[in-house]
Amino acid sequence: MPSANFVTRCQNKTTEPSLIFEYELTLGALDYADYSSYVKSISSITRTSELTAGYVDVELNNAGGDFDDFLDDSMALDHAVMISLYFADIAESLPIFTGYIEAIDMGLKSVRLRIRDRLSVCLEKTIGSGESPILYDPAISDVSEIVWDLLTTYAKLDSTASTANVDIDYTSFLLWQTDMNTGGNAYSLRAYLSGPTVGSILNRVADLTNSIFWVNGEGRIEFASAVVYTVGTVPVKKEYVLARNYNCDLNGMVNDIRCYYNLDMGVDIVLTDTSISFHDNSPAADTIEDFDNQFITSGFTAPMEVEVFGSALNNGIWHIETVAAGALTLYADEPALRDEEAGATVTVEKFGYEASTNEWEDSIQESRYYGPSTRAIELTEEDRSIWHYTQTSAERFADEKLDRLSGPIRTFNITTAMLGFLSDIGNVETLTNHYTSPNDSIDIHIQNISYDFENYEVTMNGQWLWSMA
Amino acid sequence: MGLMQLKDNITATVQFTPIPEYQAPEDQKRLLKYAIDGTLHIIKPYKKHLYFIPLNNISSADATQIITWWQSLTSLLFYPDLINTPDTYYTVNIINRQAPLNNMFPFETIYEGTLELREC
Repeated sequence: MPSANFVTRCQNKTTEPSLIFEYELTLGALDYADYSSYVKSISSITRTSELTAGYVDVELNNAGGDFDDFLDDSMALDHAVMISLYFADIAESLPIFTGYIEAIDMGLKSVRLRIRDRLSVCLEKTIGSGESPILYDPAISDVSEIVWDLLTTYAKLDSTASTANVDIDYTSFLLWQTDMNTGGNAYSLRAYLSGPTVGSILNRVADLTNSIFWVNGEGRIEFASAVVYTVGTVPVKKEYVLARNYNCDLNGMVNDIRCYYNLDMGVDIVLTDTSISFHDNSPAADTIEDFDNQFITSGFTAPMEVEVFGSALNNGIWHIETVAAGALTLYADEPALRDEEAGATVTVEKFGYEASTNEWEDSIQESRYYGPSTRAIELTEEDRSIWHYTQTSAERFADEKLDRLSGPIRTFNITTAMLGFLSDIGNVETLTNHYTSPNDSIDIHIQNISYDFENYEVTMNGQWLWSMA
Repeated sequence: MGLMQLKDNITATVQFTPIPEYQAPEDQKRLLKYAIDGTLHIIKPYKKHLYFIPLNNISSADATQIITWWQSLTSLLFYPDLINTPDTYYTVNIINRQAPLNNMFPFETIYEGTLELREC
């Protein structure tokens, strides 16, 4: 947290800021040295709430050959760098970006560094596989424990369970964890992961829990939710705002949510036999003939998916319409089977883990028609890799999403001078006295932010939520 | 425009005068920003001095010296106004990405170019 003096300098009408560019001398040692005097230019730093990797380009003066290590040192890349806003008169800095050198482009007298944030490394790691899927059971792991395991076990981030953690902002993690597990209203997720990336699953967890994960200026992953967020330090009055744009849009609105929960994973069954044959009954639905009624005895049922292996003509995934004695009927709108006699080693397998007599045990539907439109703008949540386990969890998901999205989407785009450097994703900033009562105090939830060190401006984009009854 | 000088830490010295269009950089960059209510914000970010000095009619000997400094990455003492403030100088590097001076066509013995200097 910046000191009161630092905040004051960001509010002052005349300021003398500078930036500090620090460079790790020894790989992995975090022994930063100040290389600010070498900086020729620095690109804008943009962070979004959509869990994308952050990048910044920095051009350094290499007239003195200070960065010639990039020529012949294979370990020169991946050094940590930190870019901070600095006020010399109070000798205090505020980190805006921390990352690692990913690539360099060396000219005659300068070198351009492409620097990525910490998150980009972990986003691409995969979890599980079709051969060895990973299961997260809510009886063992709550939502925060799933996220912690994803970040520390699979993304290999620091697992220190304290504020000393260099990769995870432990303070915000604990607050978010408490919120996720709030008694009587806890989120509960179950997951079956057969090869997705950490990034895609974290995005799904964030979406299913109405949370935001992002990398803060210190390079740590930070957490916020509909309940846990940071209130801006200073009201954003007109005197700090260089440009302001308000937008209200029906696009993006959702006012009717059906959320399936407690997906029964069932037990996978493989049927290998020579006593079946495939029949193209076009235009009626196709069938797989089953002389010994093994589909029934093996638990195949509609509307599961099956995958066929080893046939001569009909390998692929098919949807079951009915299972009756002697025949498994497939959906008529599937691509047509081709007539084929029983094969020697044909396998018909339940595809994935969605099959059982209770494919979805329950679903909830919540609607909140609002504003000028009374038509349903529907969202159906039926992810089969990670899903809500309890009705409470599904209801909270729907409630919080409707809080944000059931009315027209109202957003503000604000450009400030120095004041914006105090803000970040997940903050709620208050626009004060921009409009007359009753809109003289408007809370906007920051979703995108861009720091411009060349012009010392910050552009923030945030949503103004409707007050839901 | 005043007389300028570059000098290394041995004995070599080159004096030159920029072409009339040259504008000296301000001592400190000032960013003026107006808020939507008219409030003026003055931001004075500290940056090292950076000079872009257009030159022509540079002798072959001086051009050779400047290019030698540029190629050898030598730190130099730069006197931006040798007449009026002869005691003011900055330690600089020549940071041109390409050779700073080239033949002033069609003359073969004089050179022109823009010298890019940055305070170390």
